[in-house]
Amino acid sequence: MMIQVLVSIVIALILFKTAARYRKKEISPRLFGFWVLFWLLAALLFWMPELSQYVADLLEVGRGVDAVLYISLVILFYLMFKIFNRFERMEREITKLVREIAILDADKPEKNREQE
Amino acid sequence: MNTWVVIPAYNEGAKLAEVLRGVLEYVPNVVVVDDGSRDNTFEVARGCDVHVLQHKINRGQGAALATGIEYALRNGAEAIVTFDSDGQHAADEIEMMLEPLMTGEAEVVLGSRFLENTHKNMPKLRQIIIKGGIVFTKMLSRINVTDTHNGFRALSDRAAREIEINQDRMAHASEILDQVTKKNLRYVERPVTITYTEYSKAGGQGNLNAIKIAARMILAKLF
Repeated sequence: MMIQVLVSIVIALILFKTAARYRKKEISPRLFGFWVLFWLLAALLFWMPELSQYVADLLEVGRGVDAVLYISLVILFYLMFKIFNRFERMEREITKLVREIAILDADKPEKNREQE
Repeated sequence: MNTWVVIPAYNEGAKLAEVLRGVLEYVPNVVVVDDGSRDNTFEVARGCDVHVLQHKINRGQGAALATGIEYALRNGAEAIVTFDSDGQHAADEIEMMLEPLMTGEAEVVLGSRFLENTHKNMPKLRQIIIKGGIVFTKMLSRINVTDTHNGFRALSDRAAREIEINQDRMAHASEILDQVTKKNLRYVERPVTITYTEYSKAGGQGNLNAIKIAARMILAKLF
């Protein structure tokens, strides 16, 4: 029973934090809904492990914990891929911005000569 | 022909003025792109008779090169020469590099230190790594050249417009070759002298960096 209580406390804290961020309008309603659902589902899995067993039987992977781990791994890899792509795109956009500023602020030799 | 020399520079304050003086003897239009240097590169460049652009934050040599090329094109460049800022290249070879563009023999002229083995004092380990890089790049880009990582090039304005440099960092050298084959640009190699000095060795790429560059090239191919 110990692990369920512990995990529930942690999840409750996370939910409070998420709600606070939502109130401050730091996250969109959609994202807020997603995270609440996600953490409630996580809590549910800890209290009723037989639920994950049901999924495990569907996927034919044996133990419920394994099913949860496999699915988490797939989701994590997917998220990593998305973040990697977004990061690359952001880098390219920063470069474009830096380039445009550099060209607009160009120091022409004529200008330097006048200053002398 | 309206010719521009593009020189990306990162922390090259010590040698830059000398390099710029050399280049100005042959080409009047020079653009230096200071890639967010932490030393006095920007001030040194401004003291010379050249166009100076500054990346407010460091974006890498590929990005600096692309910025300089874009600027030259917007100023009506018909031929663009890319040149290193650390004194490795010889300014008196610029005209020879431009010649194939003038005669219409090619739209891309690539400098090569291995065509006639015109490199001086190249460290052995560096030689092995560069040769490895050449084999690797030839396989990935399917282009038959003797030197894949040479910053001395001459491009026609059309070629400069066609070649898109998306690799901000060092993998841009292979990316340019990729685009030459992909866009079917006529290219030719010319032997250029590369002089390795203590200064240029200290500022250049670390040997281990080759692995990082290779990884970036493969990633770029995949995505």
